[in-house]
Amino acid sequence: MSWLDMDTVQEILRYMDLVSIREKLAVGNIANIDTPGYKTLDINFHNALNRANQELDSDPQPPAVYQVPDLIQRPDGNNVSLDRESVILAGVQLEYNTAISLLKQQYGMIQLAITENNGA
Amino acid sequence: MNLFNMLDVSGSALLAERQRAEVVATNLANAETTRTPGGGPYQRQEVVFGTVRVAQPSFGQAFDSAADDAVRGVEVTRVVTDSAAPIQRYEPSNPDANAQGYVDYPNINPAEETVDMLEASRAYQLNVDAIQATKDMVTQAITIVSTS
Repeated sequence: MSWLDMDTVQEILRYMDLVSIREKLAVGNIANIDTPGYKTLDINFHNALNRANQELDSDPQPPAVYQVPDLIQRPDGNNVSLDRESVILAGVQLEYNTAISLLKQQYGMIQLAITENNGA
Repeated sequence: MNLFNMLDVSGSALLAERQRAEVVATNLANAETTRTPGGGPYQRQEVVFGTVRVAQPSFGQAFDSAADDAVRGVEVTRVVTDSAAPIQRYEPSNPDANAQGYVDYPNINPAEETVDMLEASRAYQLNVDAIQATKDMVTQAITIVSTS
């Protein structure tokens, strides 16, 4: 692990990976809101993040995608909920922006360490 | 599948919803059409949506996870013709009237078509919002590079 690959940075990157997978699934669900028989897909975010952080030194295992149970199903077999997907979409944007701010801060600290001694 | 591919997924939905709106518009426009090339009154049409794999397999995708593979776009798989019997109206002076003086009119319910059009319009807006969300995320990611 190089000096740039701090654990914190790795954790943030994995978090961003999982957040963007969630965004992709929400976008796919929204695209198929009128497709007969389509079932809402999602990942178990907390389990996936816990596991990814326990295996920081190895390649992350891709999270398992599952069909979300207990959603109200329409007569055509589709169970995409507009409200659920909108909330997820709004949430992942905030989560992603948060992660990027943290990442910038981490890199900013390295930058600080590099430049701090310039005057001396 | 990267974030840019998500624009294709939302884009496929925009295309499908617009095709649906076009079919609804055709139905409304032909609500009184009594002559068609095939003979008889216009028959109401309806789109059927199906999932579709959006991105073409590429070198980069060989490394995609199962989660990326699960994401599907949407397409209009076919357009079905409503087989409902035509509505008969008594108009003896109409050139399309039969021997009893009845004219076959398309069996189109304007309220039903309007609701369908609204649904297509709302779904279109929703997918535009999804595209905006994806764009915002990509834009944010770019700021990591541009500032330090």
